[in-house]
Amino acid sequence: MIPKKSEWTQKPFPHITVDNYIDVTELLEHIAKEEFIHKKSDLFEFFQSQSLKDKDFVKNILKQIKEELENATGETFSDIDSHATNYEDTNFLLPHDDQLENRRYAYLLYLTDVEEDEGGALALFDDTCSEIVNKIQPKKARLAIFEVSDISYHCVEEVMGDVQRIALGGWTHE
Amino acid sequence: MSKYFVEAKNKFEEDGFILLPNIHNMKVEGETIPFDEPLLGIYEFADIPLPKGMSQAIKNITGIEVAIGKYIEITHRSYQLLQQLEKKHFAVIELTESWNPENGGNIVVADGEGEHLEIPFMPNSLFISKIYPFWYMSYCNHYAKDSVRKVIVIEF
Repeated sequence: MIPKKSEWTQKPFPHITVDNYIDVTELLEHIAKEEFIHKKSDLFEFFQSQSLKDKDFVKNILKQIKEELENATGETFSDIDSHATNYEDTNFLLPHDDQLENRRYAYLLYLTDVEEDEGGALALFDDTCSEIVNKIQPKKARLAIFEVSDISYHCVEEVMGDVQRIALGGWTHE
Repeated sequence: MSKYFVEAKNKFEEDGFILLPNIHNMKVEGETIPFDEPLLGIYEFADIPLPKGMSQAIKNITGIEVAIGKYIEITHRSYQLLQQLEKKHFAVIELTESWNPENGGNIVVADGEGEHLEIPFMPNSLFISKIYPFWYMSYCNHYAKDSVRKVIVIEF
């Protein structure tokens, strides 16, 4: 269950993690069958699926996240989108704020474990994007959520080693 | 408009590469400074006067006199996000003898609409572009280990 927003960690911007959110075994099996496209730019390099929001194996999970997040925040959302990402050796996502298309909250449901020395952490920066204030390490069935705003600077640290950082993620929209 | 790629191998040896120890010494003397703005890029750099051979080579090709370049050291975790050029020409002088492009840390020029050109690594070379209005440096990954790529980039 996603806690009330007042119980979230507020610095550097509101965020929360919920461990053992759901049993992700079956979800991972479905996602492993999806086609992942190699995405590369100056800002990132990783593998991403097509939109999964209309897939039967994801619908109930998205409905649960959206409803619990509405209860936790007192807000209502017009939509929640979803895709899967896979970060492999050397993949990364450089700092940015996620602000786009009326996004309100970003969520990540990790489907694999990644050790600290393998990288892949979600790093949260201060409001000037100069220092990392908190890190969230990928852990199987861990749900991470943060509020999208003009200070929600974050990155995914480079994955180092023979590991797959697979997650279901997306945003709720105003 | 046309684009051209120039391999200036050995052209710098008399004036240019003789002066390379001076460039290396600049780091030893602590004259590079960190560019550490995660929303833009991370690397060490120094604005340097171009050695005579290098500026002459650029003048021979473009007819433009250039005096100053930005010396950049690329190491693990270095990057430069897409940046618009303030001037029309962009040049890269490669000072590194050996670099595996799979380390990242590669210089890329782009038109901002999807077309881009990753400048191939070539020791002792000069690259000049006059058609791409943007450039970036791809993230340098952990395979770089402790190695350092050294380049001079010039806008003119």
